[in-house]
Parts: sequence; structure tokens; C-alpha cells
Amino acid sequence: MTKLRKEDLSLFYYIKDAVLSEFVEREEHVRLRKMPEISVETGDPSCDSIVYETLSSMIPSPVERGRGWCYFDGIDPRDGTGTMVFPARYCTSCSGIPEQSNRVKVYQCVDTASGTEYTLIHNSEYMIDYMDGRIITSGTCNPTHVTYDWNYISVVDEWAAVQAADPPVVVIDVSGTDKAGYQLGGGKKSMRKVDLHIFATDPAERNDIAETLYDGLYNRSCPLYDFPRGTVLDYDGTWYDRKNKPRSDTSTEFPLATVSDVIGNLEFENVTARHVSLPLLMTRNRDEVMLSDLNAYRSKISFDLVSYTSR
Amino acid sequence: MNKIIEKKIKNWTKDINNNLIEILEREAIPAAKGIIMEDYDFNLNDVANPKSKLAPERFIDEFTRRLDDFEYIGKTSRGGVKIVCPDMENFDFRGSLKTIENILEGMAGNYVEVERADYVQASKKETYQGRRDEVFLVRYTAEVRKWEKILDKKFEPYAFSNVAPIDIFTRSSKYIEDNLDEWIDDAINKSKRGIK
Repeated sequence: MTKLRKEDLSLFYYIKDAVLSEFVEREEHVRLRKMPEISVETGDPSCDSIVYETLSSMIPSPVERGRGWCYFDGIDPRDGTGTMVFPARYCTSCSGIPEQSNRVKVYQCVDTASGTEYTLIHNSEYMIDYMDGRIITSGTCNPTHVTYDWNYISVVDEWAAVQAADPPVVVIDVSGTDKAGYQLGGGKKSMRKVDLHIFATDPAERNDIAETLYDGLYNRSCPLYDFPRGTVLDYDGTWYDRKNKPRSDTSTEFPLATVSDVIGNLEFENVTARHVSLPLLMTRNRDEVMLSDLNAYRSKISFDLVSYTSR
Repeated sequence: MNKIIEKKIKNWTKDINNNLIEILEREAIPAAKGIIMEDYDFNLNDVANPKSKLAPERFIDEFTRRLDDFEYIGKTSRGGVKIVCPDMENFDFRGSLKTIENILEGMAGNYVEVERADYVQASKKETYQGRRDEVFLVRYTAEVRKWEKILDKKFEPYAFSNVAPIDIFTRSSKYIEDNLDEWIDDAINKSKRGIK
């Protein structure tokens, strides 16, 4: 992985899981439906894979591109309890960040004489596909409902993906690179131009997101992670290597190691924000606008992403 | 300070400023405009659909005129010379150049060009009297696909649909930034010749 890719990924996690961590919603006791078309059911738990999807009617959809369920432990969106474990500075005792334990809860629902009872299924009994919002079991339990926290803001890293999700959407666009020496001898300073494009559903939401992002960047920095074992989620949306290792195995924790030859953090400099008001080309009158909702409430935050390497 | 020296310094500063303005007008501004137009050609004209009625090529004269009208040289609060480069915030995109502003800001979603007559016929909503040659840029939704069936024609896809923002101003600003010291040196050197 090149340094640019590591910077891009570190920035992505910082924006999504730290700065925008307040924009998390909880959906409770959502019904699960077995997906026989992609399940493998032989009766042998060692090779069975039974997939359940959530029947959520939430808009925007929690599993649209750039959203997904929360995979790090964090603050309960309802009562503000809990602790943020990401980014690293909040984690004092662990060498890596473990998969969440308070964000997703899977239940087996039983109807009794006194009403419906939700029995919590232990998290060692299933895997979670955080991108598509699915539960995967080996047939040892029978999940019927799930409660989960999901990211309200879709964070994507390419412009073309904007229309794949309903707003609010934030696009991270890392463009130009400039490198220069910064000391006698070895070492260099890398500067990347970054734009964050915000697409919101109304002016209030746009202002909220823009202000949160601005405050998360102004006079701040974020760790540049090394990603020695890849990203937090595997290609199929499950936690890193969870398919091969159980939850008790600490080697599946997201490593907090930072890039060794980089001095300090990734710094954010020259942060500026402005609203983008696209001229309404297609108005028939003042009330009716034919521009897509996506373009109606936009904002742009620009900044330089600066890092120093010793070699 | 001796009043004679003070006056001399004042005159010398004025002289440097005038020389700098002359250099900027002769060298910097035409070069900066050239860079912007080069980027306009490369990023917009070459990409656009030639059949499009909203092709950037159709707005090039107006864009050049606005670029010529732009006030590149200003004065600082202390009387110094200030050079201003066009950008998305200070350039005058009013009127017909809104189309260009849309492209430069980036447009999310897929759009098609719908001529006014087609729009009125298909949508059956039009009430105001617009220009005959008016073209609407409409998001390509299921509703618009129905319009295509009603009219039995395919609308022209807009070439800049779902295209990220395009920057045609930064390169010229960087050119000015990179060469400004040199122009200031030239202005000072030219003024030195007049000092006795």
C-alpha cells in the first residue's frame, strides 16, 4: 500500500468514524429474513453459512453505499453513554481496536403468554456483514430480530458514487499532490489538496454537517495508520479475518500502528468552507425546481493534508 | 524623518507600484488569462458533446469577455498594489455563464437536455412564455423516460452529468504566485534607475 493510499484511508476513517460519529442512528428490533438463495445449509455447523437480511424500511437506507452499520464501539445515540474507541487517542489500554460489542445486538424472539420476549444471542454465535446489514450464522442459533446503530451520513471516496445513495452524502476527494524538502538532509513534506463535498437534504442539515466537519479539521490532525493487515472490513463487509478467527482472538483487532517513517500526525491546514449554490437552470417558477435534490443543498470544505516523512 | 527623504521614499514607492502595475498588465495578466482559456479548452470544450446546445464552446465569447472585464489589480488598505486572480467565488458567472458555473462546481446525477417545445408537450405543465430556443437540463428520472416514450425521441445526454468539479483557475493563480517575486524585483530595479 502506498503512502497516498494510507493517507486516504486514514482520512476516510477519521472523517467517518471520528468526526461524524455524532451522526449515528439506532434502529431497534428490526425483523430478519433468511436468504436461502445465498445460504448453505447442510446441517453441519462447521460448513453451514446461513445468511439473514434485515427488513428495514428506513429512509435513507442504512445499507446504502457509504453508510453501513457501526463497527467500532461508541456512544449510545439515545442517551449519550459509552466511550468512543476511535481514533486511537481515546483508547488507553488496547493495542488494537476490537470489533464492536455494543452497536449490534441480535435476538431470538419468542411469543409467550405474557407477550413477546427477545432473547439476546451471544455475539460468538454469528458474524456481521456491516456493509449490507446482514447476520451470518452457522446454524447454531435462530436469529429473528436485530438492533443496530448505523451511520446516517454516507461517506464515499468518489464523485460517481454520490447518486448511489440518498443524501446526506459526503464525498472525500483527494486531488493534487505537492512535495518539498523541509530540513537539511533527508525527509520531505507532502501536501495533498483535499475537498469534501457535502450533499444534504436541507439547509439546516447542510450547515450542521459543514460545521461539524470544519471543526473536526480546523487546528487538528489525525493518525496516519499503517494498515499492515488491510482495512477494518473485509471485501464482504465482515470484520477483518472474522471468517477464520473467533471474537476472542485479539489478532483480529484493528491495529493502531502508525506509519513508522512519518513524523507526527496527518495535519489539516488552510481549512476553508463555502456553500455551493448551483444556479437553478430549470426553474419554471420560484416554487418548482427541477434540479435534483442532490444538488440543491451543497457545501464544500477544502484543506491541505500535510505530512512529514523522515526519509 | 527629514521631509525631503520622506518625500523621496514616497515617490519611489509610487514609482515601484506603477512599474509593477505596468509589468502585471503587460505580462502577468495576459499570461494568466491564456492559462485559464487553455484549461477551459482542454477540460470543457474537448469533453463536451458537440451536438449539445449547452456545450461550453457556445459560451466561450462571453467567458472571454468576463475574463477581460475582471479586475485583476486592486489596492491594499495601505496603498499598495494587490493582484487578484479569478476563482469560483469572485468570477462573474451571472446570466448565461451559469451553465459554466454548474459544470465547474460539478453536477451529481444524470441529466438530459430537453428543448422547451418538448418539455411543454411532455410535461403539460408549462405556463410562462419563455424563449423558443430555451433548453432545460432535466435529471434523467423515470418520469423523463416516460416523456421520451410520449415524444418518441431520445433526449441528448448532458456530457457533464455526474462529473466532479473541474478546476480551471488554480493553474493561473499558481503561475502568478510563482512569478510575483520576479516581477516585484523587476519593478524595483526599474525604479532604481531613476534614483540619483
